[in-house]
Formats: sequence, structure tokens, C-alpha cells
Amino acid sequence: MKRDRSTDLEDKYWNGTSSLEEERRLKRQKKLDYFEGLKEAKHERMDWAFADFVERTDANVIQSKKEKGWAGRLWLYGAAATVVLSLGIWAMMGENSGPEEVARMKHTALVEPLPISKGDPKDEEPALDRPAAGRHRGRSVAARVTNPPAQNRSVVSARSAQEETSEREAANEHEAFVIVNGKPVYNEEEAEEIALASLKLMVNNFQEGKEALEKVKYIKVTL
Amino acid sequence: MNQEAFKNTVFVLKDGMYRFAKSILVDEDEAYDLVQEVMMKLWQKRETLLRIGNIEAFAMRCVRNDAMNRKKHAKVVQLYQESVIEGVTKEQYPAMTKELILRLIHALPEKQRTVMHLRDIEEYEINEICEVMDMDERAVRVNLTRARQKVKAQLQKIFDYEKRQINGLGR
Repeated sequence: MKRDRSTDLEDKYWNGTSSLEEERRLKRQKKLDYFEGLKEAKHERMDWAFADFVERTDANVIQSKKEKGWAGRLWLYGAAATVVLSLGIWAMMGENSGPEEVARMKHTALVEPLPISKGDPKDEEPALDRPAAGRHRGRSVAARVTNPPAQNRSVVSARSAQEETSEREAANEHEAFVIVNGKPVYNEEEAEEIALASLKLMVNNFQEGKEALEKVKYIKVTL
Repeated sequence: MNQEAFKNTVFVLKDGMYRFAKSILVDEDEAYDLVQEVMMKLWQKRETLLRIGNIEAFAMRCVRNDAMNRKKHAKVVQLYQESVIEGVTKEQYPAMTKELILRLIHALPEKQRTVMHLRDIEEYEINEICEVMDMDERAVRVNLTRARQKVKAQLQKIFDYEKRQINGLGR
């Protein structure tokens, strides 16, 4: 009787109608090679330790961080390159406007000396202050001095030498060396001080800009 | 889901996943690589796994999908199956071992093979197989029946062959 039940169970198995519990019982009871083979197949293991898996996940994280870091740095390099390009363009524009400005100053200083004697210095403001305001927009009063560095100083000195010979003789003792915010400075020493101060300020601004760029170059981003 | 939780809920499934992958791909190394890849994907999606009801069925389904994709690009299994069929027709049977049974299962059509593997080796309930295979219960039952019937027929051939061999030796 027991044998028949087991055979019925086997038939149910082959017909695919047995339950999981019945099949487990069949595997336990029937010591057939077939069922033994199935049991053995279930014992096959994958030789993979969890530590190796963790190591692999860590490696993945590091790799993705590296990729992200590289991408982040690329972005920074791009930003830095943009800043440098902008500065370059700004500098080129400054250079391009330089000679015109020098020529204008020469013209103003040598051909059309400031008519201070006529009284109103504000009338002369647009001629000299406008380009200066354009270049030093937003800076302090000292930075807005209209006398640019070397060439202008030579212009000033050239102008002062000529004035000493001709114009001073014409009683124009109040020739302005520099004009600050539309106000002419007649004292040579004071003019030199202002010019030097403005140059120092400009150098300082360049230095600050340079340091800021270096910071950008070495900045680190951790995600 | 932290590492420990992942180990206890997902990583413990690696053996079943490996056997399942091997049943589809046949090649051990390929099955090993596939399980590693799937496990990494599951690790990356470990937070979303918490919302999945049956993680085991989900993992096995991932294995099946990836294995089927790989299989499309490999002729290894096809060649292997051809060699199995050839071996059977030439009556060059090995002894009734695990390898022979697995060979017979591997030689089945894909759905039958997968259903039979999940049922007879992994001992899954029918509804779990439905989830892995995305099939209804009736279809799973039909595939299981056909698969077992084919294996039985092959075993009968082997049995007859061995019987003939024994009779031959007895004469």
C-alpha cells in the first residue's frame, strides 16, 4: 500500500501536478538517482566571499568618485580658463584704448593746455575724466586718477618741461598735472604722489586677482 | 539598507542566482560574472529594494533577464545543447549523475528549462516562479509538465540503453 502511494506521488510529479511539499517528501523517500541528482544540484555553491563583494563595491565607489572628481576639476579648469580669457580680452581692450588715450592726453596737454585761467575746471572734465571713468569704473577716487602709468608719467614730465619753458612764461603757473574727479592738481609733488598711489592700487588689484586665480587652481571639491 | 542587511537579505541568494544563471548560460565563468554584475546592480539599488515584496524573486528575475540578454550574443549554449542531443542519439550516456540531469534540463526549451530549474532544484512555489518568469500559474504548470515529461522520456532512453548493455554483458 505504501509502495502504491509513493508510485502515485511519482506519477503526480512527472505530470507536474504535485505540490512542493509532496515533491520534497518524494525526494526524501525515493532514493532514486534522479532525485539524488536534483538534491546534489541544489548544493552547488558560488565561491564568492562577502568581503570580496564589499571590496568590489568600495572599488566602484572610489572609481566613481575619481570620475566625478575629474569631471569636477574639468569644470573648474573650464571656469578658470574663462576667467583668464576674460582678463586677457580685458587687458587687450585696455591696450587698444591706451594709445588713443595717450594721444588724447598729449593733445590735451600739449596742444590744448587746460584753460584753468578761464575759471571753470568742470568744463574740462568730460575730455579727461570720461575715458578714465570708463576704465576704472567702480574704483575708489584714487583709482580714478586719469593719469595712467609710465607713458602718461613721461607725458606729464614732458609736459611739465615744456610748460617750464613756454607756458609758465606766459603766466600759466596753474597748469594741472593730474585731474582727480574733475579737480585739477597743480602741485607736481602732490600729482606724483597721487599717480604713485593709483599705480600701487592697480598693482594691488592685479595681485589680488592673481591670488584669487591661484586659489581656484588648487581648489578641492569633495562630493 | 546597510551592508549587514544587504548581506542577510540579498547576498545570501548568490548560490541560487549562480545556479540559475548557469542553467541558462551553461558556462560557469559566465554565470559567475553575471551574478557579480547583478549583485552590484542590486547593491546600487539597495534603497529601492526595501520597497520590493519578494527580493529573491526580483533577484532571480534580474538574473534571468541579464542571462537572456547575454545568451542572445552567445552561441555557446546552442552548441552545447546540440552536443547534448547528439550524445543522447548516439547513446553515449554518462552514469546517472547530477551532470547528466543538468544536461537533460539544459537541453529543454528556455521556458521549460527555467521553470523546471526553479521548481526542482531551487524548490520554488509556483507563484514564485510566476513572479520570476512573469507568467500565469497555468502557463507555469504546463511548462513544468512538458519539461518533466521530456526529461522522463530521455531517462527512459538511458534506462533502456543501460538495460541493453547489461543484457549484452550477461549473454
